[in-house]
Amino acid sequence: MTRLAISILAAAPLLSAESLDLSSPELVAEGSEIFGKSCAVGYCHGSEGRSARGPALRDRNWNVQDLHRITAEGVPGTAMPGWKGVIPDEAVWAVTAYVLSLSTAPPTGPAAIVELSPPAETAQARALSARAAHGKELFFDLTRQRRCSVCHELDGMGTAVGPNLALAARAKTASQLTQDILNPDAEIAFGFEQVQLVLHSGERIEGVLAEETESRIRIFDAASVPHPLRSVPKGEIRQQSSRKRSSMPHDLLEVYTESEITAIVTYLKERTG
Amino acid sequence: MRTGTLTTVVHLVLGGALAAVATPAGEVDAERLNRAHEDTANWLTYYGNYRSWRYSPLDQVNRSNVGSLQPVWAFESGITDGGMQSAPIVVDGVMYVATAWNHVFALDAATGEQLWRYAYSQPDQFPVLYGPWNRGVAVGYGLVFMGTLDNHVVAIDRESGEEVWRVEVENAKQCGCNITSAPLVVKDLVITGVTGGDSAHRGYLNAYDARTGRHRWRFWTIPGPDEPGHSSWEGDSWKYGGGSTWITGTYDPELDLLYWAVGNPAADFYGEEREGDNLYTDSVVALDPDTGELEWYYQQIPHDVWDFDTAYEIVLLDLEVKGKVRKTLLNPSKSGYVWLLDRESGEFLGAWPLAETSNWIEGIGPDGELIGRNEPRVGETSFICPAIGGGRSWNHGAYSPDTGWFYSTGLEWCQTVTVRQEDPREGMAFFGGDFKMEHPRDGKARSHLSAYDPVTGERHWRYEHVYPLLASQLATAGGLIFTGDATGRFLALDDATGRELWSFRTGSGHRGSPVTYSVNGRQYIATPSGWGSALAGLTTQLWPEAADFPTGSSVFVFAVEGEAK
Repeated sequence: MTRLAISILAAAPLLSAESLDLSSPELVAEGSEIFGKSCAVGYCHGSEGRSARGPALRDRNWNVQDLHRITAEGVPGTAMPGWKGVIPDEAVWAVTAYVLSLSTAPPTGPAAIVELSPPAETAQARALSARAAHGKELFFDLTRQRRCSVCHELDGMGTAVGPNLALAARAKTASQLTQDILNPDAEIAFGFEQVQLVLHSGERIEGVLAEETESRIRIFDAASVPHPLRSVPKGEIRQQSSRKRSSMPHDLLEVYTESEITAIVTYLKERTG
Repeated sequence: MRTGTLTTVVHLVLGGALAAVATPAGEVDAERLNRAHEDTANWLTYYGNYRSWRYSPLDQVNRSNVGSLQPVWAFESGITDGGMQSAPIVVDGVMYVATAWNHVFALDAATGEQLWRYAYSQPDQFPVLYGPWNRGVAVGYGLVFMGTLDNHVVAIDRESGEEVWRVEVENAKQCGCNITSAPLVVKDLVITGVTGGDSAHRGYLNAYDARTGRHRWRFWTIPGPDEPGHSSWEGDSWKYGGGSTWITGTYDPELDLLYWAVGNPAADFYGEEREGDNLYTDSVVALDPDTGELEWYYQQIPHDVWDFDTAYEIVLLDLEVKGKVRKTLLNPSKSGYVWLLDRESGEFLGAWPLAETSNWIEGIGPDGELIGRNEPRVGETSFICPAIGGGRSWNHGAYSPDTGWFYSTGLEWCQTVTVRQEDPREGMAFFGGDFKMEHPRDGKARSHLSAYDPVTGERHWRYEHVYPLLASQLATAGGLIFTGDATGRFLALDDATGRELWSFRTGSGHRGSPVTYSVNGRQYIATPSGWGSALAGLTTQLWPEAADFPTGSSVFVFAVEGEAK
């Protein structure tokens, strides 16, 4: 196999080397381990790229840059995910090196010197204090049916029923955020007051307005957690009203303790810096 | 290994005369679903009806005329990624069929004309670890229900194809789980399982109000702290222990019990950090359908380290066992064994094998205990049969009350497994090793479709095939068993002898579930066609030529000429 050297001009913090030799046994071995846990697994490319649901990766004529790009970005509209941001870029290159090692044909394309842009200092990458890390766990804790992430999307996870907390956390103090949680009616985020629909059938739906089209109203129904997104034809609606009451639950002290809420607020503040 | 005594199969309440009833046009509600086995013109649930026999009393197409069975229409969805694994639903002349990537089509069941199409809007980036396919929809209360790849349930208006509600079961970006199975409508609830058995995830079943999508209950397949069974998990392993519910369960209206089979524990192959029985993985659970509370469970495989889910269909049969008529359920498993349980109590009544190439255990004892467990060792490569694809795949068998036999495929294949220690990463794959497909020591990998006594496993006939048979079976009162193969042949076999009576090439391999129904007195046989799936991909490791088997995503519908009444 042709030896390929990828120089890292702007090294990411996770990289100790200034260049990655894609044919180095160490990098291939590292790639093999990552591949075994993330790519070979039952339903994807199979052991050593022998194929499963995903295509076989052995004995192909790879273009190095294309292979790295597909590994990093995925293939939109298919089950192939992008691994950028999920594993470090060095690991994406290690997987690339491993897949190249599965083919006897020499790879094509420039064995280029790749300028890696320094990774954006993302919120996820920033180290959280122990309390904030605990707050993050609580925010996303799947063992609780009621949890913040049922209604708030953050760091690419959770569900966007309620307002964007990244913006709120940037604009508000920890004390204000705590007040928002404990007394949600004091300051209601624009567009998140409670909407009530009364249908001709007599049914009442209360919740957060998601969308209004010419013919339908889509509303997150607050009657159960998680909130179903109801799509109600306007012709079925007898009355629509809104009131100055937040759709945020008013009993969050039954969900989290005060110290847990403090931890969650710490997480929100630390992740925005 | 066999248990139980050779007995005569009898048919009591469940197997009684199936008088055809006039097609009640319109609503599908709890009462109609409870009596779906009498609604002979329609295929109202994923398995046809709650008995899960995949049997129809329609006999217009039968042994004597099946040779003249002709295609009457075909439908091509154009969505070929992942093939076509669906089971169509047919209600009062309309077929509802789902494809990969959560598209639903309503078709005129007599002509194939498209009435509407619904395309679920998927998020931009989310993990599809378990594949883009969908195995079916459910109907009820004027709605069509579907589980989605991003772990939602969606309800669509049956007449217009407009979305009525959708609800997130759990955030797919976090849990890494998808829904690929058909939901089950029971009473006024729509109940859905989830994938996630091979990733760091804690499994569950969820029930929603069918009309509104409001959540009613969740049953965790892994008990939490302070719940009975929690001590069967070591440390925090329960938080990421798998226990998926990836194949549709069923319901007995008479006993008012909901049955579901639970998948394997995670990590699949590495069990040293989840010591214990790992309840309720690899178990059949019986739940109160109104509350989701556990009524009983039976664990077939304690502490699974082979990825041998029992998460397959549950077939409700009233059978004579050891001289006594019992309300039983039959549950085939990925392990290659079929378990027979008393469905009132969960009592073990017997187990028998579908696959002969088996070394994961030496057998099953008279009380259901696994004898001679052959566990792959950490850090070593072990030769294990059957392969991860199972001694049978998830595709469903069929039961005919006319013969009293259960018809099922069996797969003879093996694998080498290399087990590795692995730490869970929430929502990410969690196998604890990997595997390579292998031929059995006694020859080439192969498959078969056979007729079995459901109590004893006594085999009455066998139809052999060089490739894995990965489609479901359909049994009819016409004395026929329908299924399809990897090369695209759709087949009709004689239910008494296994003799091939008819075949038709649909152009792509079969991985879904054929159904039958009638419209205006004419019987139709419908089959999905479209090679794809994880196993279809794995077959290329043993049959390299299978890499050239074309994928597809169509439904072919057949009838005999001049038989309309």
